[in-house]
Amino acid sequence: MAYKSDGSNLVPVPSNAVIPERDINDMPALECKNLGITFGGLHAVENFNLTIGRTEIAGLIGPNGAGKTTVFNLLTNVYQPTTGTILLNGMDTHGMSTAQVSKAGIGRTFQNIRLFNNLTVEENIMVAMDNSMKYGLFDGLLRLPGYFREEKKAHEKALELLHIFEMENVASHQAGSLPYGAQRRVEIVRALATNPKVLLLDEPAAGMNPSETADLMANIRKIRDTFQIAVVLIEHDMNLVMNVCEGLCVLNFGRIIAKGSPAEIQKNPTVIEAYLGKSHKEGEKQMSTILKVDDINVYYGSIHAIKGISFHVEEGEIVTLIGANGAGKSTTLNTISGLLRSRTGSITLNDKPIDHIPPHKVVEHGLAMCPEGRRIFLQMTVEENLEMGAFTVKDINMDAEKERVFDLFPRLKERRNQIGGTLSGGEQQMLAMGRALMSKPHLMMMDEPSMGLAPILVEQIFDIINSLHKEGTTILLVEQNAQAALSIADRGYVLETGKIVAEGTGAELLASPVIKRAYLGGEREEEPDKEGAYYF
Amino acid sequence: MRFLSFLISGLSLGSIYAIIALGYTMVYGIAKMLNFAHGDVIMVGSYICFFAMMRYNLPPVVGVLLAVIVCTVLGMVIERAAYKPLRQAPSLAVLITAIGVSYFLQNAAQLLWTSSPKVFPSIIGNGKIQLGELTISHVTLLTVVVCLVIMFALTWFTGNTKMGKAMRACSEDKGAAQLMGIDVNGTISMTFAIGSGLAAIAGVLLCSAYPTLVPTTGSMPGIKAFTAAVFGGIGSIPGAFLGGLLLGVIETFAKAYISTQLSDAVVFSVLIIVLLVRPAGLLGKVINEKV
Amino acid sequence: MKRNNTSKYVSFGLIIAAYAIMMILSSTGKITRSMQGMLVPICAYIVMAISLNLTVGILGELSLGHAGFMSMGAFTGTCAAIIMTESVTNTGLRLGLSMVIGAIFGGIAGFLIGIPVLRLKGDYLAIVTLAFGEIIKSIFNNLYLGFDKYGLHLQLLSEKGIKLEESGRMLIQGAMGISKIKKISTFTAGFILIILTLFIVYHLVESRYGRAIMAIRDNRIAAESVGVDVTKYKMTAFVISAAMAGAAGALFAQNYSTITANKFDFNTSILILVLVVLGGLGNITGSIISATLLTILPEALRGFATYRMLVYAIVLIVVMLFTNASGTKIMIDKIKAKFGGNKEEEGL
Repeated sequence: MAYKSDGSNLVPVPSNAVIPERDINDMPALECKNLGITFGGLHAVENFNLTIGRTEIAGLIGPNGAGKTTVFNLLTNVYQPTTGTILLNGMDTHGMSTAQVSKAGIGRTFQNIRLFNNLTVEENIMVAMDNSMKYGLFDGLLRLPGYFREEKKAHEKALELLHIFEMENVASHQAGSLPYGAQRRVEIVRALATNPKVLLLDEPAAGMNPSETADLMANIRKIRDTFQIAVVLIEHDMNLVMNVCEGLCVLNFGRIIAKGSPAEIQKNPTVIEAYLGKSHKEGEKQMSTILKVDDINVYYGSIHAIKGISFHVEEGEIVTLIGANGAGKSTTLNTISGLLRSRTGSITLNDKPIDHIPPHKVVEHGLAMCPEGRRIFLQMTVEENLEMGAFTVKDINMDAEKERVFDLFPRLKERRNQIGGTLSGGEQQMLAMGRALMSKPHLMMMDEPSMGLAPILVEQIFDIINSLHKEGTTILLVEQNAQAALSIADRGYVLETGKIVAEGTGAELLASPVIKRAYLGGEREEEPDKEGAYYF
Repeated sequence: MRFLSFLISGLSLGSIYAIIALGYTMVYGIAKMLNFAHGDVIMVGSYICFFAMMRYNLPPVVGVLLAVIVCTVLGMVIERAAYKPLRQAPSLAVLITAIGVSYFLQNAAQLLWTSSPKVFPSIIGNGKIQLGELTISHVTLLTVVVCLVIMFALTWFTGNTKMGKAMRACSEDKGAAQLMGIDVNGTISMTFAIGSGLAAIAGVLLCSAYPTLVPTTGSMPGIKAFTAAVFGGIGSIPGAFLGGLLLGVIETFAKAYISTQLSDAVVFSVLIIVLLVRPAGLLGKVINEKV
Repeated sequence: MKRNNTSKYVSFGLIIAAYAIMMILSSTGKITRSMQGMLVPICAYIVMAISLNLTVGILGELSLGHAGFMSMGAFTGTCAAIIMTESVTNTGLRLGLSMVIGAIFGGIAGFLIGIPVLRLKGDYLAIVTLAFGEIIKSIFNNLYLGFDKYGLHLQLLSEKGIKLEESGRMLIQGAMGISKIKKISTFTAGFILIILTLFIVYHLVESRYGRAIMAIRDNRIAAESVGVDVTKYKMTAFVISAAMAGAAGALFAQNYSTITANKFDFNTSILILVLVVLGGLGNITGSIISATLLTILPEALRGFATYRMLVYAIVLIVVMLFTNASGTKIMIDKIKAKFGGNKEEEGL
């Protein structure tokens, strides 16, 4: 992707790629022209132009909700694009099914691993070779010679592919029983087994530890060199992205905001702002503990998601939890609200333990949650949604409370009789916040309130959070937009793979170089140190 | 005129299906399960009403009321004992349990009340209204009216009461509903109670129109009503209403104009064709899996 | 591929051992009449359970009308056998041919119903299979079929229009079904059918077809993303499953002198589904065991006479609650963790 975006025209820029001869000027492996898709009036991806060379490793990066996975879904025809064309080796893939696109030469992995969990690792890979196997149903049922010949060939090829990650020894293990990192690797091998010309990797390093990630980096290069294919990856681990990719494309709000080499991207002010946000003003504070979380441990099945986290929120404070995808921020909030259970420790709200009462009772103790992805009731009106927020409150003057929320969000007042599903993303976020405020909570928790919103709306949302804070509402905020969150927060905690790795006042953390480095990666070619750099 | 009288009896049969289908659809909407025992709750309701009227000589109104109360409690007990422990289990396991409950109710009824058919008494006499050439029996009229009343009452209930709104919230997003402080388990229990109460009313109406009562009385109307709920788009209250009425009318017309014996084949063929054109039923919404 | 082998050998071993024991017992006369009468139905239900397990457990789609395919096979297979009475005098061969014909018609029915089934998902798919079962029942209940030297005479609703030659006979008489069937089904034939079914299912599962079918079950989107043609493989599984049910129907029907369409109603479909779920989804050995036990159970409970179906229902509920309730699930997980807990930490 040695091109710089200049409107819709692509201008070649010099690249410092590892591969000496760039082959982009022959026929590119993949070309997207003016690609776009609309979901219910919302432009999820718009005017997406990208060209990938035949043996290029390219990265697709951007904040949460920027539309990166949607691009992959468009490329594989899981979603049919509303506009634009995709040329795979010069061939238009328009109207093909996902299976046909795979046959045409695009292999992919998924953000949330999608293995065939009940099949063995080898069987997973052999399914992907199905199109290259040449025996029919009766050969299989009657075990004719063709069956044995083809099965043997496939078996050997599967082992050969597994060898890339030195995973032959788990060939007969059930895929679903493998550790997380191994499952990610099997998914890559499976995609390779379809004989792709372009390999799409969706967050291949998510959930991997630093040494696994380092291995992965080496292996991505090795795969490209061995198979001579193009690789496009979506990744939040900036060390990996900056080290392994030859070209980067940054997406925000479904639009490309920058293209270029990793070095260029790291210096690009638009990109820095997209990742870290703009700073906001600070409020004042007073002390009396509202929430105290002491040594909680949370598991998803056998995965240890939260490893002994402790923190506290004082009255009137904004406290923020920041960290990478999968660090455990949302899990922490869901544990406090009672949707998940901690195996150890305690959680107290206003000195009352809340860790062993059902979630709907937690609300009665004065906790309100504004969940990730907003989760408003799409089939209920704005007013009904607000009423649900005050469901547990007795002796409430519903109209007065609604008016209070409408004062904060005049926009909602205009739409009071509209169905939730017809609101725009920003309005839905306002509704989710208004709904949480209806119960006059002692503590309001917000999970990623700015996710997927346009910059102007993000600013508005943060202004609102700030004014709620000034009114004395205590807020626990989980945010991707670290800069914005820290600039309005009194204190912050940095989470990494289920542990708190740094804490301090908002100003301290803001000033610390650790944050920028964590979000955009360190110097190029810098290897992660043994303690583990920040993987955001 | 023949057409009109078929249409009316079709609407009457459809009304019964609609009331049963409402129970199916509400439970499905909130608990995402097919409550196969629903048809048998109808049968229990009919028996309660029958014994109240025939053995204890209670007035019909008391009989119906008693049936509603017993079925409401029964519905809640079934939910608590058999379905609640399986909230996290795969849907097939819940389905099989529901089938088990259905067998249980049928066989318990057979033991308690024997399998010899009971002739259900008329609850409002055999009166008829004559409109020119058209004759409409009181039972037919009552059935349609009751169905309309239930439909409007339910629409009002889910739209205007706190409990009704909680039910809608739960059926849309249980997690978010919990965060609002809604007791999801209590709401599900309430839904079963309402659905089962409606089943009792449907049972009495069914047996008033087709007065032979046996322990398997509820099975076939149950399956048909379930079909009606899917027909209209399962989970949707107006869908169940529409699906029920249409199914009743189609069935009656098929009996009248095609063949009595093949009416079921016609009804189910129409269902398959409708689902081919609208894979989520008439008023249902197709939900795509997130990738 | 090693994964399936143990279960495969257990399945074959069980069937062969059971067959041998039964043959020895019956030759020494130690087998009760009621047990003798149950052998063929048990075989038929085992095949039905394996066949439905292919749809529900291996393909992962719920079917509530599997008895419809059985009915299809029962009626077509039996009619074929009656027609062949004189031309094929060897009863074993005739039974075999009738099962093949039953399987072919079952497969055709499977293909026809597969067209709408492939477009639908979840509960909507289930309701279509239910509807299909009811349609088949309704049609056979109103179908009149006669046979004479001029061929077959078919009519719906009544037999009035069918005028047969003297030597001809009525095959299907509406709701009365087929009567005066020669009882040519034998335990040995049932045994052979089960062995064949097992061969087909295990060979399918271990071929690229079976792998693709299971991949669709585990994750349809991922299967599509690696180029699996979902429609083709779903249809393959559905047709094979329906054909097996057809063969089982032909076997089942010719164990009785009369067969009616109502024998294959919704309750029968549900009964087969219960066999599959209790035996374990995708677990063929489980299907064999549960089909055997649950066919014997009502007979074994005959002592309780009036209470037996009630007990059956309670057993069903209790088993489902015990194996699936979250409380017991956690307990089982804990036990598993105790013995195999180190898996997570194992490096790879």
